[in-house]
Amino acid sequence: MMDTLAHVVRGAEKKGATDAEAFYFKRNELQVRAENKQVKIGEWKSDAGIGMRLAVKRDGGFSQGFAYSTDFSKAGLDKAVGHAFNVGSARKPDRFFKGFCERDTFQSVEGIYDKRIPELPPEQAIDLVNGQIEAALIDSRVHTVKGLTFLLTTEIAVANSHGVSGEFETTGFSSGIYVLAKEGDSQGVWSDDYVSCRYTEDEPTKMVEGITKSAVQQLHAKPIEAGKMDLVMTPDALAELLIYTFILEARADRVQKSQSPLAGKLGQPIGSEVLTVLNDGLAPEAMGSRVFDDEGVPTRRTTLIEKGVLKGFLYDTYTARRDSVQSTGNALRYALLQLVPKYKLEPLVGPTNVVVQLGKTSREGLIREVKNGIFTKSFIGAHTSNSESGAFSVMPYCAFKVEDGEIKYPIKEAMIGGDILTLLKNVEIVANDVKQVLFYEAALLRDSALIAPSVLVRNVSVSG
Amino acid sequence: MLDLAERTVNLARELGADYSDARIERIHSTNIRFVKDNFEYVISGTDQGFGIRTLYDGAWGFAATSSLQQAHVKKALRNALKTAKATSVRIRDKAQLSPVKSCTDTVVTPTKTPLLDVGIEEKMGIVTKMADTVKAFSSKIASVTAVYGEASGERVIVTSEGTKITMKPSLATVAVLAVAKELEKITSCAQRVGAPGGFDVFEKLNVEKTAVETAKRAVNQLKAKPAPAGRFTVVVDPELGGVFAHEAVGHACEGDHVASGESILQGKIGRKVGSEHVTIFDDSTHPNGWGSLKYDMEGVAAQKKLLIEKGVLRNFITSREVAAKLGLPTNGGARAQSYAFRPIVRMSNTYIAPGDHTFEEMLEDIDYGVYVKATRGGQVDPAKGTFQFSAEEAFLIEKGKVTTPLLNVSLSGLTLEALNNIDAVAKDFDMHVGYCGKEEQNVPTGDGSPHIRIRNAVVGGEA
Repeated sequence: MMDTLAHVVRGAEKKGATDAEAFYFKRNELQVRAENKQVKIGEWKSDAGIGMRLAVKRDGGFSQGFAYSTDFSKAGLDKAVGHAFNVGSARKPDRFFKGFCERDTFQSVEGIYDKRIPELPPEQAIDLVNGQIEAALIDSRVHTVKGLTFLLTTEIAVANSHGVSGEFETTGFSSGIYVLAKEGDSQGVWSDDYVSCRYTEDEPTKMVEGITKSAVQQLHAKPIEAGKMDLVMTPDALAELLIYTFILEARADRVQKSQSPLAGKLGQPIGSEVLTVLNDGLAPEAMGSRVFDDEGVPTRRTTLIEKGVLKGFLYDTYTARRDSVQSTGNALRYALLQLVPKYKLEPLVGPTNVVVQLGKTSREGLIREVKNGIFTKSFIGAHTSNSESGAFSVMPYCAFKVEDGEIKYPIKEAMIGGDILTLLKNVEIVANDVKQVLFYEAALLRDSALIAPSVLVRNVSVSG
Repeated sequence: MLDLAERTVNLARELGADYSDARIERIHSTNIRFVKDNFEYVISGTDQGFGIRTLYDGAWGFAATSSLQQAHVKKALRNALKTAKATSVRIRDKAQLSPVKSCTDTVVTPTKTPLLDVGIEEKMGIVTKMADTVKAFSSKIASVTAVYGEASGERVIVTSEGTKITMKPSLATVAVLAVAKELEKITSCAQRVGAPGGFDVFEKLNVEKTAVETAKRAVNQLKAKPAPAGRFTVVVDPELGGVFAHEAVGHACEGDHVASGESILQGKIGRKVGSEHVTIFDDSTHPNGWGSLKYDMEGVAAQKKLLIEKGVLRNFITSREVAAKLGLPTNGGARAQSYAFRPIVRMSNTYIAPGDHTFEEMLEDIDYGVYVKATRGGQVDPAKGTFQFSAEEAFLIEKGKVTTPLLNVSLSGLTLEALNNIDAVAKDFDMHVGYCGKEEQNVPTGDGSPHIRIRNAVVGGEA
């Protein structure tokens, strides 16, 4: 593959590009879907393509072009290079563009490839899902069980005209179960998933009993009274809220364009002192970990919030050069809320793994601290948050009312409104129950994850 | 294309598949996104690939590949069949297909100016023109995002029952997002327009007017005040009404949700689920509808489906498998985002039929209420029958008049309660273009509605 990529880079240079880059992405995937208490379908997906980026010198700067091809013949690739060149020539020059990334040393990353995943027979994955369904049927009130398990193998290679050249493989495993319980007219829903670069049957099977119990506990939900109260968010809920209100706003490009509520706040306290948040592209067995980012910069660890103080932003090469800093290895090819193969996308700035540092309190201990509040596993409507201002209005989903330190009853129809900066300041306790959550439910990102515990936020505005 | 699909479907039969359908596509697309004063991306490319679904002893398997090489296509077929066989010995409820007549047809979306004949500069020009129009509207415009999208090409569907359909789809859309800012206050509004056809669709769609309206609404929202929270009489505009029809009702009418017990409407056909003012269609045949299609991805002729008639639930949207399970006729509701996805039950153009009120009549007897317009998005749970939408714009209604603009209003509640509380439906009507996501698949859908009035609806605000 490296020869093919080198051909693309040379071809672009021959056409007159000052910078050229070729990016190869291939995935092989087996998905097993369960519906209606049984396996519905096993699906295989195989997809490969090359995305090419180039820069053309113009009056007043450089302009970039991009195209992709799933046809790897020389003619097919040359045609795509021509396309990219046309786009580059039609775009206005960009005075901030200072070239693609330089060659750097790549290091291997622990635990991001599990050789069992590409070889796993479909029968075994189907049996895993069957086992989960059986484990979910421990209560007669269980009405529906659904699930999605996927096993993913990806190959990534990149080459550019500055000597960058590398390739690596990763695997991914995600297994999720959704249970709907019914009693009379009432319905209770709960879901959970297990995510890792490694295949395992233990955790995804063990988690099911708890899912069913929670679904049953969700029966007979009651409305609650409006007011200011405490909010306990599980890592899943936190992932849904943070991706739209904080993580994507920590992108340097949004900050540079003053589109982020974090713009101008570097070095200032923006959150509670108990809050430390990193982006870590090297976290072991994490779905966002990789050898290099989507333009060939080695991944690393970046502090975003340290004890409440805003310490950094996420950078790719382009935004880093604009601020005269180093890239944080956060070039990511993604499209929010859409599953688009990476080769079809130019890199933007995006998270790899966002890690919230653990506290010392258990989740139970966290709940004991709540006199009057809500415990929620998820939100409805987080993606409707206003990214410019950080304002959100969300409905807790799979949520319980908490009173005097105890979970009391499931709630319905509550709305939580607020803005992210106030919420971050009101975080009072960070728990020690850690979970890896893919930003998949929240945004359909499959190689970015939140690794975080539950958190307790005080003084949240709830309308009933 | 047709040849390769037919050969593979024949091979599937030889290898023991009870049924199979194959789709091959070659779709050219261009997507452009302009933010503030730069093109964030300009991406053109061709996506081709092969997808095959096989049924073996009542169990499904599916495989897709982006390579059209014979060897890769055959491997995909073998994988699909292997998985179907492995599944068949592990399940109790076997899939059946409701019978349909096989057919052969070619469907070409008419275009005056084929999208591929227009250069990239002209497409980029539409986007910059929209962005410039928004910026020129007011100095309070802080930023603008404009996007262009098009897809055209060829798709074939071949089934082992003899259906052979060739489609030559073509559609184009633009959308604009205006962000306005004054002091610390930031507001935003977005609008999308689009239609099936060639580049000529932009002659009919008034792109400039769309840009001006969007900018105007964003700027008007700067005057908005925090909204009250609680239960109010709410008047909903056609855009949010369409989203409500789609999200809260349409999803609950998707036959797969019904069959798996995840719809609040399960078992309610023939029963009253809303007030007499409510009639809702899912109409695949709507002329120029953004979600219109002549055949679904199972090769079944798509129909106009009456879902709710004067408050009584009449029908669900079905695929062949779901129709057999529910004992309903197949109505051509199986769609897929591309060759790489299996067909699942989807909406097309979902709308609330117009009534006989005027907008003014609906406001008349409201002493204190909320008028909500458009939406930044929302979510529903068709199983629990709950919904939540963030309105893009909202206003107080006082003594029958639309007054103060309100900030960050959301509308939420129980679908059946809301349907019952609709006590007036206007004569006016408007359809909007959008995309609907389900099981990771995005398909173009149209949503429509007149103005509707809902009593006792839950409004969330910040005040």
